[in-house]
Amino acid sequence: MSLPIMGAPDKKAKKLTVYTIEECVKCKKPVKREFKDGDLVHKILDKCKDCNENIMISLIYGEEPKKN
Amino acid sequence: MDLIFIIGAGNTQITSNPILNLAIIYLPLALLILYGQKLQTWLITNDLSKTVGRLKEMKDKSRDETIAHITEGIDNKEETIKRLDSFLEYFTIMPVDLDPAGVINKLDHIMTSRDMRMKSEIKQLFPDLDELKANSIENVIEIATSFNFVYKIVRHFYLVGKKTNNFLLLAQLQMIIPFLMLQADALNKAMATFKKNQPIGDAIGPMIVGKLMLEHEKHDIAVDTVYAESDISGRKAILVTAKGPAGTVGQPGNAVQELINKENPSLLIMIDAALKLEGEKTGEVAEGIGAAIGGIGVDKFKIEEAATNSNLPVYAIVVKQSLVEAISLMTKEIAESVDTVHDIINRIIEERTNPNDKIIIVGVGNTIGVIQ
Ligand SMILES: [Zn+2]
Repeated sequence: MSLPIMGAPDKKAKKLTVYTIEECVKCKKPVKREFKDGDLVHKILDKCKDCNENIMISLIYGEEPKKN
Repeated sequence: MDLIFIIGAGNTQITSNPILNLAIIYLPLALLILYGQKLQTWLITNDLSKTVGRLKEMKDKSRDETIAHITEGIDNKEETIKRLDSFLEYFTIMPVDLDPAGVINKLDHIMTSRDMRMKSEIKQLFPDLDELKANSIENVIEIATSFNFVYKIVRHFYLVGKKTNNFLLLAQLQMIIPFLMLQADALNKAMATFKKNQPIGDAIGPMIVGKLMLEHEKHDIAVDTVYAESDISGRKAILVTAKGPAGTVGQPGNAVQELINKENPSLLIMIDAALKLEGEKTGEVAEGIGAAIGGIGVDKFKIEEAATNSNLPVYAIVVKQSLVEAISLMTKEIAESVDTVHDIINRIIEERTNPNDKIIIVGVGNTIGVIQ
């Protein structure tokens, strides 16, 4: 029986929102925003306002939106 | 008192006619004994017909989505749809393994020709596409093809079971249906992610190694595979991964084989996503020994052989995730394992190697949405 090794289906389907984390390569301040088309992990975006270093997308991930 | 009622004896009577009482109690029992399996077959067939219907809906939706994705901004839609439908029926014939010696080379040859053919046909169909979009189309078609395959297999067993009224066949199909639906669900989610070039859970290996490769010069070493050289704690680290941000796994087998022969390293570290067991946490990091690489086995074979021939220890670091998570949008838990794995790499290098040693670090997985 090799099938069950892949796990069982989740009872409730999770609805994930896609977030992009931007980070200055020097001051490492992370900024979290929603994903935009064209975003790629490790893509260089702008210059940082504080230190003029590159701002890079460090992570892109899906997360369940917080219930308010 | 209850028992007496059930067997229809004693003072408690359903009707005043004792024969009728017996019939009411024992007739259903006799019917169930004689026709119970027929009834169960009917119930299972009903249940399966619903599932097969749902699978067909999902399959058709994936075909429609694929059409929408690949015909975006294209005039000749009819021709493209016709070609897509022939893509969906593509098959690969596995080499004979009665005489297993050399079967890996044959398998490698078949899989490489398959990839090459797919790539060149897409290039022919859409000559003006950039590499990222062409790759995205290739991935989406691949997903739609898998969907078509899962659906056809399920339908086959369902129809055979129904035509032969084979209770056991239908029962077996019903038993594995939840797992096939899990796979269908995973494919469904993968489609959405691949269309937008977002990283999937399996991209964690290329992401971890890709981060170490930033700002170092990248060289091509195999099809869709790059390496870069870097310094980690005074050791020469050779970093290998598939070439992003297009969705590809590259050829880590060929790349590592060549690098082992050329550089004679003292350690090989492989980083990959691994299927978690139920109850294990997503994003958990585990260490071990051996070639951490999935797929059909060609790359694993090449790496194991090269490592054995040069007596090279192979260390594995894996990030746990479920099947669905591995091929759909990367979750937060998986993404946040990057720093943990970097710490482990540094620790292994400091403990297990000496300054000026050469180390190969491979990020295994599909590098969709990740730049090196
Ligand atoms: Zn800054």
